[in-house]
Amino acid sequence: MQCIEFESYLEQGSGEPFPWTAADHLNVCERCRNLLADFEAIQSSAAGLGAEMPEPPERIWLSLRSQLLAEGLIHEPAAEPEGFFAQLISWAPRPALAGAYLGVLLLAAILVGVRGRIGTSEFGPVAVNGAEMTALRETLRAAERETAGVVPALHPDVSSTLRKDLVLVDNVIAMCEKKVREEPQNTLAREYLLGAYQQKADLLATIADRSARGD
Amino acid sequence: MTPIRHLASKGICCAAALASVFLLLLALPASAHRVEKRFTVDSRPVVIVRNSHGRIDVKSWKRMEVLVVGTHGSEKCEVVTEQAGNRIEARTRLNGQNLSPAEMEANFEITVPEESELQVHNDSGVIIVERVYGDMTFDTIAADVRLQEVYGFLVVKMTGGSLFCTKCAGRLEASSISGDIQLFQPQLDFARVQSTSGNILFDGELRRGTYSLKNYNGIIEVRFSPDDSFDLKASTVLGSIENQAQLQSDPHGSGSTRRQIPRASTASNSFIGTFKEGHARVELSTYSGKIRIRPRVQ
Repeated sequence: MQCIEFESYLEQGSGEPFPWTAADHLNVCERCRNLLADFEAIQSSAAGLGAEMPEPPERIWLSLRSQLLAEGLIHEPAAEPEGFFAQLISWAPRPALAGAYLGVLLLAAILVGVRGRIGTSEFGPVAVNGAEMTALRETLRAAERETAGVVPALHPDVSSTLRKDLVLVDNVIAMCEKKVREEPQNTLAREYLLGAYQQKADLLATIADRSARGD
Repeated sequence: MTPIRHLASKGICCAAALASVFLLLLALPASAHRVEKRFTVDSRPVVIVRNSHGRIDVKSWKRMEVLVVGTHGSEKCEVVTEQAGNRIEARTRLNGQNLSPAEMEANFEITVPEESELQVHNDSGVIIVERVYGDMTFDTIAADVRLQEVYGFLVVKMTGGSLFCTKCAGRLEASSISGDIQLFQPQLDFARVQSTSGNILFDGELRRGTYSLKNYNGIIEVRFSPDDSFDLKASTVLGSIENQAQLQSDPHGSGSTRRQIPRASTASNSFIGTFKEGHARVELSTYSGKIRIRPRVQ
């Protein structure tokens, strides 16, 4: 088994014991062992349901960043200092913005993982527990705090759309959370809530991306 | 006409002509920023366009060439193109800070071989694509996307933009937060469409394929004809469902035509049934909006 296959196996998060090929690979690959340890640490912290989201180890950010750069999903900031977003970048601290972006991407990955685990049908039942929902919400809030204030420097059409749609998604989240609190077993309401979290993660990632890209 | 009047008239004409030339010269800088590039390709090209604000028109022709015409009104906006094999990229680069909306604007007219793949990013403005066959992705924030007679795996991700799709074929995945999504005469095998607050309209044949249309609020309207054949599932949490199709119990085994799902765990309103043989599969879901299933007016 190669590292990439192991990562893909890990992403599926089936909860089953590792097949022997994966176990063999773990025995010989320190990188994958570290990755697994990180995932387990995050998982157990999230399950612990703290009001505070656990801070993943620095090497996860570095690893994620290098992976995203390698895949062309994010780019290094433009060399020229006079980029359109230079002012915006100087306004928002870059490490925070990068952290927010990666945080949102991580959240999106979790959401995709959760969705993959739940479901078959587009409107199938949602088996996400309260702890996972809380962890997602807290990650989202942390990402939002770090992305706050970025929007106004974009093109007026773009910034007004982002601002308006953030409010819209927040309202949807509030309505869905209320419904889920009232009827915890309402699977469709939970599905919508999860979808709204994902939309918000996407929106924050879009904002962070436009800022970090400096185009 | 007296000689004096004749001269005066001539003078006015000259002045008018000079003024016209002067105005033309004034207008020139606005239209002077034009970039035209031709790229020869030997097979299906991948065309990538990245723009901040403006209009992007993509059409096809029979030549194995990609023609990119970019126009912009400001020197602070620059159109950059490059070719690497069959990959053609066109993008705008913004120079400077605090640019006005007009300074950010760049428009593209792109002509591609009929079989081409497209990846288009446009934050605001509009994207129009006609008669292109190949996989396509569109990523916008406030820009609308208008597709006509395109075929392929179509992925459209918008924030506030709307999608208007006419005679689109293949597979479609489209999402928007506040924009509408309208599909006219689609010939799709698969469509997954989602808008948070926008309206969704499906007006076309339902004889094959799988369609999933979902919003939070707003209207989802599906228009069917007597020749159609589909399985239908419509669900809502707080909204309403208006169905004008004569549905039968699902012959594939799903049960009654209308029911409150009886499980205590679910309070959602759900509607399941089959129209004719049930060849296509249609899933509609809204949180608090309206679902309408109506016959098409011929």
